[in-house]
Amino acid sequence: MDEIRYTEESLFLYRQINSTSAPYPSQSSIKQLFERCAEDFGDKVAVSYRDAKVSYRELNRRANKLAVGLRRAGVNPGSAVGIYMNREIGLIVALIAIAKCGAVYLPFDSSWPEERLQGIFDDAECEYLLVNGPEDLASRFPRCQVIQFDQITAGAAEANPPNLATAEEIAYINFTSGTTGRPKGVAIQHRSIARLVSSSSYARLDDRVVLLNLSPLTFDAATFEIWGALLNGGTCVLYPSAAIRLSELRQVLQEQGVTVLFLTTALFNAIVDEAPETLASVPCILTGGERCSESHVARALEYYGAGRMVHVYGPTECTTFATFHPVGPASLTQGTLPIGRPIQNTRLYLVSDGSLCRPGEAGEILIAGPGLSPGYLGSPQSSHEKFVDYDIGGVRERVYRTGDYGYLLDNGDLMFQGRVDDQVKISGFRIELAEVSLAIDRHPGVRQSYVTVGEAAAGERTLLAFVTFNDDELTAKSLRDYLRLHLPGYMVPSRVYVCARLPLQANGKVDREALLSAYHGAGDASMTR
Amino acid sequence: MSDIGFEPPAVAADLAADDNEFREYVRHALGKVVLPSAETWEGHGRIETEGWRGLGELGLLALGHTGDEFMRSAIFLEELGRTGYAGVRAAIAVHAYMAPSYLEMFGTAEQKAEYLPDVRLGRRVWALAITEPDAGSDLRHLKTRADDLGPAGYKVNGQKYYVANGSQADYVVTLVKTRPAPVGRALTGASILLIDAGSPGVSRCSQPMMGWRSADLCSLRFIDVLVPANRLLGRLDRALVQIVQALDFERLVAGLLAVGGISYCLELLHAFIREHQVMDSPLDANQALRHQVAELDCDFQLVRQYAYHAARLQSRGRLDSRTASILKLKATELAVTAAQKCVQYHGARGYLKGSAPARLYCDAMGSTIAGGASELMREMIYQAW
Repeated sequence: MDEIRYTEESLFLYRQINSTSAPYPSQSSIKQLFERCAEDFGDKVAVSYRDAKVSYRELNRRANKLAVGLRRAGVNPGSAVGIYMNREIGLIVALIAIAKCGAVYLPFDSSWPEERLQGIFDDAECEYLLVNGPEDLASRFPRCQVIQFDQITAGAAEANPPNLATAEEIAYINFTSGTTGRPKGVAIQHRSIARLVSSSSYARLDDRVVLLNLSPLTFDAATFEIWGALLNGGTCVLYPSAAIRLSELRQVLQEQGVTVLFLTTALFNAIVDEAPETLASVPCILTGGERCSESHVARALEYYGAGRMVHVYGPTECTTFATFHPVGPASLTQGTLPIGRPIQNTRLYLVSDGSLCRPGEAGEILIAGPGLSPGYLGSPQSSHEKFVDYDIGGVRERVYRTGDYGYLLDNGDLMFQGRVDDQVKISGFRIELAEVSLAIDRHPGVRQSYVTVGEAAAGERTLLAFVTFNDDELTAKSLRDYLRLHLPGYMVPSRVYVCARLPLQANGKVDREALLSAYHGAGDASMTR
Repeated sequence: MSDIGFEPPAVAADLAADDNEFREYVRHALGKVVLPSAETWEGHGRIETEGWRGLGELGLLALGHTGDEFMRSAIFLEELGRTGYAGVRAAIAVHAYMAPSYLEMFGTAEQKAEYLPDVRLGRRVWALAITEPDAGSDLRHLKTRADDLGPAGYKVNGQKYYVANGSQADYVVTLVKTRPAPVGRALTGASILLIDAGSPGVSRCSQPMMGWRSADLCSLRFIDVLVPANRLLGRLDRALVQIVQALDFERLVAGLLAVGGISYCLELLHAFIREHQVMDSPLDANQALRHQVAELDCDFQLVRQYAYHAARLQSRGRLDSRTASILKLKATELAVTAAQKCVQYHGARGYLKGSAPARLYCDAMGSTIAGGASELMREMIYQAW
């Protein structure tokens, strides 16, 4: 076990920052926690979808019946159940029923490539697919038993089944894109979900919370959106459409009285740009997932006021959120927004060259605590590299190496700088993509930007910027001229592509591949305007 | 206003402990809203939303803190104590008296107009956060800090312990340090902030006690919590002066509640010893036992009279620390003695988990600690001599 070097001063600072322990039901499965809510809040609305509202008692009853059906279909404790269902009440019933079977839910999207899906099912040893659509998945995946949600023979039993999973066992598996190109299955324990949604410091989660489930199940923000409500006696509102329309979002937020909302950075920026009034009724807005835009945060702060927005950060491997920062007037004094302090029952360290970083020193962000995944499925090598035991100040600490790096402010707030992967070398120069983005965003005519690395014609790496403008007079050339005044020449993107909008992936993050194929791949210089 | 059959009587010019009409109204109202739900609240560890709303609709959260109106509060507090649930009474008293007293005493007209209506109707629950892990009876080691952000308000970091209504509070009246102070003089440079408990950065953890089950005691942690500038209650850096005044009021309220609690305990004890047969005779056939109960009753009558004396002082704006401390000390300690006798004379059935005497005993032990421990009360009484 490697020892992390430290000074007494820095160790003291980390102990202060990491003083986050709070009681949480560390020995209970999500099945037990949900059933406790069903008992305590039987008549309260658990799930709301369009005009339908289902109470905790009724939701529990339906899940109990479905669990019997799933068990009859062969789903056993520990079985991985692939789940691909439209966002409707049945989806929530299914998740709870799977938990009641002691089984593991594995969200997938049938539109993913065949090979990717088969790899996922193989890695997770997934034998069952629970679906509610007409697609013929049985012929695509003959090794899996496809269970149609609507056709399953539900059991008559309405009582809670016995506990078949402990807090240590796996509750769900999320697949993330791996750097090798092969997706990595991140296994998340029941205990980690309890840690995310109990005694929460980043948002008020209790029996009065009304959370909107906007994220697809394949994106781990859904863990927060669904279980944050259902394990606290609150209400989970299911967004009624597959695609998000701001007018509809505003109506849902208002009519359903949503109190806490998570938005990806890109979607948050789009709302600030196009219709900030969409969020007028929401008391607590969490945003994160990508590097934030300073100008959007400043405008949002002006519009929504201090204390309503929370900047959150966290890799899937640490169960959705790891740090948070309530956004206030002083938040932008460092130029960009901090990602703040660890959430409850979470610890963080910044390490560079085997030493704990002092404030101002940049290092890799390491996360520890019960939110950590036990590891990647079928990938012991990756698990070994990313989940590491260190001796930190005489204490053995299992950490997740995020691959992100940042630095601490004197007050202990964490600043995000970028991915280790985003530190690129072009023509011998080390370039920080986030720094380039920040410079672009500071131009008043820029609405949104995305900076990445592409290949030039000769196969060399080159810096690319994709931007949306809110100033018709602005051109790619004038933006590059502006950047030359603010950045060294090697950091000025060689190509600036002007886009009508930045395409998003299903998880709300900017779709790099779509941008590259639509613009850079076409090699059409006219698009640079 | 009321759907319990009759309206609260109009305030009489000279209200006193024998305002029987109002007392009758309060008993009916509590019998309708509190008693049917108290066991459920004890089980859930807090008063349910419907309970707050019900109390609010019946006007029981809107009784005055000062003047003649306070005499009605005194009756209400005694009757609330007489329900026999110290957790329930503590939760309600913190919401309606102890926490908003800072608003009533030191708030601006705008602040009162903004917040008081919801307090009085039970639409927003209030809590009071003073104690910290290292600062209880001795507040010199107060650590919760509010950094001044200028016109933007304050940023609060720290932790508070034993906050009643902690899990459900909408607003928390919070003692914070706003200016560095010399070591050991933390209240120099402290202020009172009204913190929206729904703000990001506020987290709460239940701290279940052996008694006071419905009081919903929690620890609250504040991490970078943003508080608007207009949520300062009273003057910046002057909490020391405010706290002294508010704590006197808090101890008066605690004393009145304890008086009601003793009353309930003695009624329970009396009924039991008259009915329960030992060797073919009721327990109260035993002279030694009768005399012990009579002693308790004597002490109770004296404390009760003193409680209304203190209430009258409050209604005339003349409550002092010594009076408030004497009342709190004697009432809460008598409650412990009475509860102990109640358990003892009930025998094993009084020691049974979930029995009323056992609850009274567990509850009574909390009252000599909360709001200033008995030892501190004695010290203050001696100092004020």
